Amino acid sequence: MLDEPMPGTRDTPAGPVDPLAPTAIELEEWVPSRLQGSRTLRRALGLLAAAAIWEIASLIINDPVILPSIQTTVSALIKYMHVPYPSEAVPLWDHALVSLGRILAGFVIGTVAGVAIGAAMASVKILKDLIDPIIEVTRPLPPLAFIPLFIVWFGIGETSKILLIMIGVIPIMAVATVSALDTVPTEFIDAGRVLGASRSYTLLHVRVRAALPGIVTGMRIAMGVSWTSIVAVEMIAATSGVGYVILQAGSYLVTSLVFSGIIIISALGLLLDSLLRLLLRRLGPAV
Amino acid sequence: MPAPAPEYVSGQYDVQLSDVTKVFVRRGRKPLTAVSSVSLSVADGEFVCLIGPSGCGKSTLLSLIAGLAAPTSGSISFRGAQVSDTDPQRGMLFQSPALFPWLTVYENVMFGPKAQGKKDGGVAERARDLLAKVGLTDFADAYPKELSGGMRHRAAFARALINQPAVLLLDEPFAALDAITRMSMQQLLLDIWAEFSMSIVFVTHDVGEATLLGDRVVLMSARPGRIHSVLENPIGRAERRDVDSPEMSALRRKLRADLADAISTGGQGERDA
Repeated sequence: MLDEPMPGTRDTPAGPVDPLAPTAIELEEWVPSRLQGSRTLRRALGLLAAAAIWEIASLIINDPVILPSIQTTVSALIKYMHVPYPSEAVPLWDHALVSLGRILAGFVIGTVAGVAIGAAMASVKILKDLIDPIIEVTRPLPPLAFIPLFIVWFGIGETSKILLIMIGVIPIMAVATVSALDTVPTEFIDAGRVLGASRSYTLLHVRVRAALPGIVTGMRIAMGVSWTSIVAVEMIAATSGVGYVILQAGSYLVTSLVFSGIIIISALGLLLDSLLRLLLRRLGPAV
Repeated sequence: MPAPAPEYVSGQYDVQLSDVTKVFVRRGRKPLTAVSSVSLSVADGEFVCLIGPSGCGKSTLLSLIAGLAAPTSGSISFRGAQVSDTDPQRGMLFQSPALFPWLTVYENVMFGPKAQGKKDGGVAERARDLLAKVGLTDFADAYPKELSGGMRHRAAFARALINQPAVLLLDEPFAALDAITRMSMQQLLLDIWAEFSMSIVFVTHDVGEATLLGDRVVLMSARPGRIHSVLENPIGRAERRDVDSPEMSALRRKLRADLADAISTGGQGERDA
């Protein structure tokens, strides 16, 4: 709470005001000009600080099995990009591509299916009443709970991995699509109609178009869930993929490779999310 | 400033409503009669204001004329033909400008022609002219979120006018604007009306606005929404603009009294839908 009356508010009772005390307005101007610099710079500083803590901690612990230094991790990352790991398998680079392929397959199929289900729910009331409880029941379940079931049903092949991603993506996309379509203001649709657009033109160019940013935002959330699912399933039932590498390297105490795997997931996740953010920006303002 | 009044041929109607009733069926509740046996004719080039307490069905009536909804009984015709769907000839402006946020101002204006597949060279030029008319030439490539409230309404005007409508329906379009912006928007509307020779049906709950703009003020009472009385504006179009004249003050006083009567005679038992 401020002890002194807020300057700038008109109904402040007149009273003694210290002319030297900083006013709220002055503070507002003062703070940004001090710290403005560049937002990118501040964000980079945050990352650098985290890296510094990592490096210092590894120096103090001085045991690469518990915490390898940044240099050790980076050299492991570079080495295993062409050296197969485990020795009978493929290099890290190929593991990354395998994981990426599974993600994309599950994510794309799941998104298409989820959007279709959501669109059907938003247009047919009966379907919404039928499907809504199914989604409500399955949505809180972590997809990982389905791993043993899928292994029993489909074995440890690619099918169970792609299905596992889909089971996470579909409810998220269905819910995001329904809510995006349902929150399009009626006035937009009416405006489209009175401006001379047919019902189908209005549906496509107004309602669906207005819902796109909400749908892409749903895709960003679904992408995060996909990574959780794929890494988990690769740790349990796989002979390739980044999750598999992380688990193997952990078992053999090659901690620097565990960190390398984590860095790869982080980089790929960032890459895919920035593609979706780019798509969102291409869609233009949403409000 | 006083624009010449558009040609007004009496006996020629743009919009005719006869015995129009609209009932909304609500799940688990009593059906709501929003509009009850309303008959009204809007002459070519006429400016009609609909005024009344909230819940009197003014907006419902407007959406029926627009063709966004169908009456439960009665009929609505536009230039002799039955209204069964929306028609770019009947433009409408809403309480919010309802500009599409993902389109620039220019693209918003071009929405109608594009949706109708009209791609003749004149349209783009007309869009530029309209943007100039509403003072948005410099904002043609801006997105709606970058505009002020008044500018958004002006863009919405341009977007509706590109279709060259014969009738313009306005649903309390200036209600959310500040007094000064509202005055300039009313002025703009009068200028546009004079230039484009349209009929206008204007919903408002502002007595001053109704007396300034309307050739005729139709007063509605609520629940069910029906016409309470019709006031022919005795003051000429040019003279009305002097809103502080004794005649205008007297007219406002009369309309306010009528409005009070309309409110007291309307049933008030039912909650707003």
